[in-house]
Amino acid sequence: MSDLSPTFAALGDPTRRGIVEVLRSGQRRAGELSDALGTSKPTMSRHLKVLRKSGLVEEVRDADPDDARVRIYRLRREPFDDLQRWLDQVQAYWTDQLDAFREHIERGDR
Amino acid sequence: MTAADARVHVTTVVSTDPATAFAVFTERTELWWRPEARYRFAAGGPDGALRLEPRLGGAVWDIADDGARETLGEILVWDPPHALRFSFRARHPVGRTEVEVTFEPHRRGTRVSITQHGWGQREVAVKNLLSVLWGDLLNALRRELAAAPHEA
Repeated sequence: MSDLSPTFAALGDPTRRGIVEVLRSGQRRAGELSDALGTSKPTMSRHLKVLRKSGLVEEVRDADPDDARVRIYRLRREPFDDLQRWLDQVQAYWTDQLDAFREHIERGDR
Repeated sequence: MTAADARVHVTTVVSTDPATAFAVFTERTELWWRPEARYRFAAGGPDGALRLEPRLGGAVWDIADDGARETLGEILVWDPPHALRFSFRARHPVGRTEVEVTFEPHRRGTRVSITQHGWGQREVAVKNLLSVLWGDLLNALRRELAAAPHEA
């Protein structure tokens, strides 16, 4: 399983958690994010950089063909897929152990 | 939904009475626990065999082939033949999870359920990633997996 540490570290900041929360409902322009989170544009830019480096967020390419300055951001699936995959593994582990317990009981060994 | 609700839950029915099921589960792990089970790293499971000291406050051990013993946690709730709960040190992500095992009477014997939860309790970032995940992607998946039959 890929390393989730950068993902977890990026979420150590409440503003970045707020950005991820907003992006859950769809991609947003940088300006919309700074308005929603009550930050200045340079501060938002810094947070988005951290989130992009961690792989949680990506920039949408060619967001506005008429205006190259427009930057739109969205969540990437991969970290969430990784986390979901890990949780599935944990589920499979306990299923194995519980199956082993049941098979032992069913064999009649006490 | 918050990370406090984030849990992994599995259940099955075994054809014996709750008292026997509880006793075999807690005191005879050497007869049934699978040390080589896949994904033990993901669950923070022991590398060797799991052993429980069968009392409140008793140790939860990881026993290697050579007999070396490592403590993974302790028994927090000891309620034979109904339930037990123990702490379980998870290695990845780091945290002190808890595992609860319940034994409920069932027409075919006993329903045994295992729940692991508590990831990220002391690591805010993990807790919040789990909260975001639980908020949208996982609810449907968890319901689907919980409904998958593991009954004898």
